[in-house]
Amino acid sequence: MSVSPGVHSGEQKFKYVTLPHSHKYYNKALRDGQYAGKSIQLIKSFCVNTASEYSTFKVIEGRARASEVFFDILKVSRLHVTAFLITPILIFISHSSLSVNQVLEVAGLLVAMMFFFSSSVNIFNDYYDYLSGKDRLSLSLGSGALRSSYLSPKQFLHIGYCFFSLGIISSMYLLSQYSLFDLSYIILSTAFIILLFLFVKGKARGIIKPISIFLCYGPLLFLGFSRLFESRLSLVYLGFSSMVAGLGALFYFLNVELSHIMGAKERNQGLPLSFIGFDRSLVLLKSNVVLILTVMTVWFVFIFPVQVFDYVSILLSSVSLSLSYSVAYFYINRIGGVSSPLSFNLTKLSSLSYLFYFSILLTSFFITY
Amino acid sequence: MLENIKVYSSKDFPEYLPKLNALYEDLFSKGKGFRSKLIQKCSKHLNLSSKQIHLLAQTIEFIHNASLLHDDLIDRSELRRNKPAAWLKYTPEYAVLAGDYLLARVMVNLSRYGNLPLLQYTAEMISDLLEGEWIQDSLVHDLSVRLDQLDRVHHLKTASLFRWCIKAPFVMKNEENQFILQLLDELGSIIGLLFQRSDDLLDFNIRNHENKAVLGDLKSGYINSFGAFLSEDFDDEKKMQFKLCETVDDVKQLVGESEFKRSLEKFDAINKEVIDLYFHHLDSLGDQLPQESKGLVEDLRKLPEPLYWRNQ
Repeated sequence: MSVSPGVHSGEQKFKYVTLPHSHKYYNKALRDGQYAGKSIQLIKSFCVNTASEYSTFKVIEGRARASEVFFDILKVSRLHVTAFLITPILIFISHSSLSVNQVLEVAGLLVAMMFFFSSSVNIFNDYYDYLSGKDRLSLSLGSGALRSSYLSPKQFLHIGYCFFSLGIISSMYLLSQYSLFDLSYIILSTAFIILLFLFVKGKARGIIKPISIFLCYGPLLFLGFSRLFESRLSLVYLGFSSMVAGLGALFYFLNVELSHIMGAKERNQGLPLSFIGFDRSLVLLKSNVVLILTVMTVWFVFIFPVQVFDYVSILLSSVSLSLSYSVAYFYINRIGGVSSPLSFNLTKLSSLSYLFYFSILLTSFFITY
Repeated sequence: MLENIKVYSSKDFPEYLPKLNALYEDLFSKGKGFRSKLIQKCSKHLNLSSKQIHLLAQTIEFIHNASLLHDDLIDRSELRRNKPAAWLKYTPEYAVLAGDYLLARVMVNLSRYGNLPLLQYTAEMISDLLEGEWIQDSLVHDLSVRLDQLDRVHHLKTASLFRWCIKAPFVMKNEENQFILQLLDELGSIIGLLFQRSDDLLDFNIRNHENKAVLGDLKSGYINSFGAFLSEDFDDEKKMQFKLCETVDDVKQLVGESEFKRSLEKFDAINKEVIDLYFHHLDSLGDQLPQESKGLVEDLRKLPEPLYWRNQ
């Protein structure tokens, strides 16, 4: 075991510490982020998952402020993914036979459930990958939140438990108030897809993942909402909006993947884009945008006017469709300027893709309103 | 006292290829041979024979100089070590082929020597070097590149050579302790990163004791690590102005003299932390090495001074 130079008489003062796996406090250091009464953070692990594993930790000075902790939690909870629910909820609110209070109650519970469950699952996944060594093979792997956090891994895990418990409480309340029997086939198919995704590895996962995202954020989600909110939405409208939402979510997640394409091989992840390559990924994403716009335009030009005589709806739909086109234009321009998997423009593209996703959901909302 | 090992001999290359040996005479006569000296430093504590040390030194200098031949052509740099670059003095075709020939020569020499792990490790290093060069080229004219992204490029490019210098002697000795080998990798990565960052500071005339030409990276459209650090919070317009700076004074005027100085202090402070980590890893290495090899730790401890702080 070694500590850095600078040991002062009368006080053990060190900046870094490297511990072997055989050290009695090794697991505690890794799990609790504590050593010799000091808070520590993992810098590097060597010979991971072997008998000669060592890890180097850095001493963290000072306590974290509440705002830093809050931000760390937001990073791991990926709050914006929860926000994907909001527009579909709005679509179904306007077509629901439930009272306003009921709708608000259900919508609030659903958002809370999604936030707590997705956050806790992310936290458990990151924590156990960290502890098992999978995310310590290289520090470019794994959760940025866990790595850069002021919270120890153990504190993260406890937050995960809290979130999971809150998710259970909100879902139990929802179950007690509303019959989810009608949703059983949706719940079962979603659970099947998630399990398939978790157990399938390698290239097959690269195929399963986009299909899962499309189904879970599109048809399954919208079918579920239509049942839950006792929606009066027609099958045609349901089909259109779920298809567009699914394609939009897929588009967003593929953008996020593109910014991680360089490390995919290192992580041995079955990412779809890492199989088709960087250059073809750019073409795929541009084509995705064109496809979504084409579907919406066909709908707007040929089907929507036949079924709607409300000028306000037509106006709002036209404005939001124009917004989608504008965002798409900026997106395609920007992606044309991306020449490297490390380009910072890729990060900016993720934000634009998010905006595009919401603009098309907004259009779906006004078209179905 | 470290020797200047003569890594190049015209006897090793065919005389019937016109201008090849003249090109190599120019190339190898001017270098400082820093990497081969690093090899000697590391090797002397492992009791390698002079033949083994020569092979390692020649390998790293061949690879390094091959990358210089190709780099100068890719960047269209007209000068190398204050003399016309090989692609200008001879032809671009000869510069490319001469670089390729050096790499081929490395493979011939190592395969004849017969240490398969060393051959494999060297091939992987060359692969990393080329990958880093490719990615770096894809970032030219990208004004928004960040420091952490450039670190990934440098990890592949510059640091791979330094990793090899520190680790290859142990691979040649058939070292089996995986912790030592991974520590050496980490030490090499850190020292390579520090060297690159120092080189990037030189481009802004910081600690430029040898009066090398400045702002070469920026003028080529490439934002180096200090440039990325300095321009982190610039808006798009300021980034364009930054790209168009012709002199370091232009940069200081754009950023503000005091802000430039503050950024440099922060950048140095970040690298001081990295050096502290380097020293800590050296202590860990010292704990693992047998008594007769512990002198290596003291030799490696001296590296940050010339490599980062540019003190001889």
